[in-house]
Amino acid sequence: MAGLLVLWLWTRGQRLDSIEARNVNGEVIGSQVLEHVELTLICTALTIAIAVPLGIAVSVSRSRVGRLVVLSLGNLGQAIPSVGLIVLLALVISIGVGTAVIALVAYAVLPVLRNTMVGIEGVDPVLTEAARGMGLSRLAVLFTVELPLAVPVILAGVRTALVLTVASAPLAALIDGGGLGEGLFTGLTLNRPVISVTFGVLVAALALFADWLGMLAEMFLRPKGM
Amino acid sequence: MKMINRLIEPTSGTITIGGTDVLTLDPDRHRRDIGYVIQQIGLFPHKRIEDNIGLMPKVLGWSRSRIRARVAELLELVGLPADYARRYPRELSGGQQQRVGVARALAADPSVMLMDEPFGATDPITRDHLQNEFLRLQREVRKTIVFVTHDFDEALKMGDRIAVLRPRSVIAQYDTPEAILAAPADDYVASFIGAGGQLKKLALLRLRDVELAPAPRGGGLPRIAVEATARDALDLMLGEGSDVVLVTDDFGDDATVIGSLHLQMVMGAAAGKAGKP
Repeated sequence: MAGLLVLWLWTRGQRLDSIEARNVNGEVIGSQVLEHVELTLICTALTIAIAVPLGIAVSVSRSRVGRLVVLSLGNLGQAIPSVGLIVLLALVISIGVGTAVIALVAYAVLPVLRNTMVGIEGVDPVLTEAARGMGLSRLAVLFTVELPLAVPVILAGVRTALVLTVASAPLAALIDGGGLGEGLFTGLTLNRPVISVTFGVLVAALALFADWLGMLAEMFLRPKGM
Repeated sequence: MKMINRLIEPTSGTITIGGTDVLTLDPDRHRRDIGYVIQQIGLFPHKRIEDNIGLMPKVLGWSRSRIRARVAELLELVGLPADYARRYPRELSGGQQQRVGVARALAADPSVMLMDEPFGATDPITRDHLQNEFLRLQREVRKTIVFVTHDFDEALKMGDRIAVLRPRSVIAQYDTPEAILAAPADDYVASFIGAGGQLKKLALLRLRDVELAPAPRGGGLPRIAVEATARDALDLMLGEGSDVVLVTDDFGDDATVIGSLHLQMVMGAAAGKAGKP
C-alpha cells in the first residue's frame, strides 16, 4: 500500500508528456489490472485443476516411473525460461491470450504438483494404516485422511504458483495476451521510465497482494486441530 | 495380526474367524468387523474425538443421532467425560488418546478385536490403570481379543490363553497363564517367566476365588478388598507384619468384612490350588 501511495505521489509530481498521459491514467491502469487479475485467476485455476489431480494420481499409484516422468515434465516446464517458452509457443500455436495461458500454466504447475505429492506422501503411515485397518477403502482413506492432512502443503504450493503467475503474467503482453505487461513494455520500447515504473510497481504490488491472499487461505483452510 | 485383518495377505495356510475363511471375504468388509488398536494409537488429528469414534458408523450409514448416542456410550465405557467428544486428539494425554483408540475400535461393534501393544507407549501407572479398566471393559463387552505384548506380566494379567512366540514367530507354548507358570514347555518359555514365578502365580489369584476363613472377632487387623489378588494380600501381610488379613467386599473403610485370609492359605494356594475356576 505504501509503495502504491509513493508511486501515486511520484507520478502526480511528474510532468507527463502526451504519451505518458495516455498510458498512466486511471482508465488504462484499471483495465490492465483487471486483465492481469483475470489472466492470473484463469491460469491459477487451470494449474490447480491440472496439478492437484495429477499429483494425487501419481501418489496413489505409488508408481516410481510415473513419479519420475511427471516431476521431470514439471521441472522442464519451470526450467525453460518463461520468455522463451511464451515466444516459442506463440510461434508454434498463435499469438493471443490462449497461448499465454498455456505457457503460464506450464510454468506454474510444478510447485502445486510437487507439493500435492509431497503432502500426500508426508501423511503419517500410522494414520493410513489405522484407517485401512478399520475398513475404509483406499478411496475413502484418500478423502477422509490423506487429502485433508495434505491441505496445508498443497496450499503452500498453490500460493507459490499464484505469486509466480502474477509475476510472470506481464510476459503475456509480448504475444498480445493483455495485462499489466502492456504498459510495462510500452514504457520500455518508447523509453518512458515513468510508464514502466508505474506498471512495474503495480505488478509487484499485485504479487504481494496475491501472496497475502494465499497466506489468508492457508490460515483459514488448514485442517483444525493441528 | 495384520494377516488376520488382511493388511498383509497370507501366502499359505488359512485363517478362520467363526469358521469362515477370511480370505473368502471382501477385505474392507472383513476389516469392519474387526476392531484394530495399535500402539501408536493413530487418531486422526484433524478430526474431533466424536468424529474419530464415529467415523466407521458414519461410513456404515448410521443416522446422526445414533452415532451421537454411540459416541456418548463408548466415551462412558472407556471412562472419559462426555464433553471430550468435542475435543481434538492433541488436546488429550497419551493414556486418554489410547482410550479413544479403544472406543474407536469398538464403535461398529466388531466381533473380534486386534490389539497390537495397545498400552506399550504409556507409563507404568497409566498402563496399570488402562489394563484394569480394560479387564473391566472386557467383562462388559465379551469379545474375542487378540492382544500382542512384549511384557510377560501384562500377558499373564490380561490373557485367558497365552501363546508364547519364539523368534521367527514359532509358537513355543499355547496355554492358560496358570499352566504356563506351573509347567513352562521349555527353557525359552521359562526364561520369559523369569524370577518370581510363584509370586506371579499368586498375582493371578483373585481373593474372590479363594475359600476364605470366617472373620475373627475384634478389629485392628489390616483390610483388603476381595477384588485384590493373593499377591496383594501377601504384600500387605509382609508390610503390616501380620499373618492374618480381613477381606472386605469393596474398597474403602466402610466396606463389609466377608472373611479372613491366613498366611497358610496363601502358601497353600501357591503350592497348587492356584487357578481361576
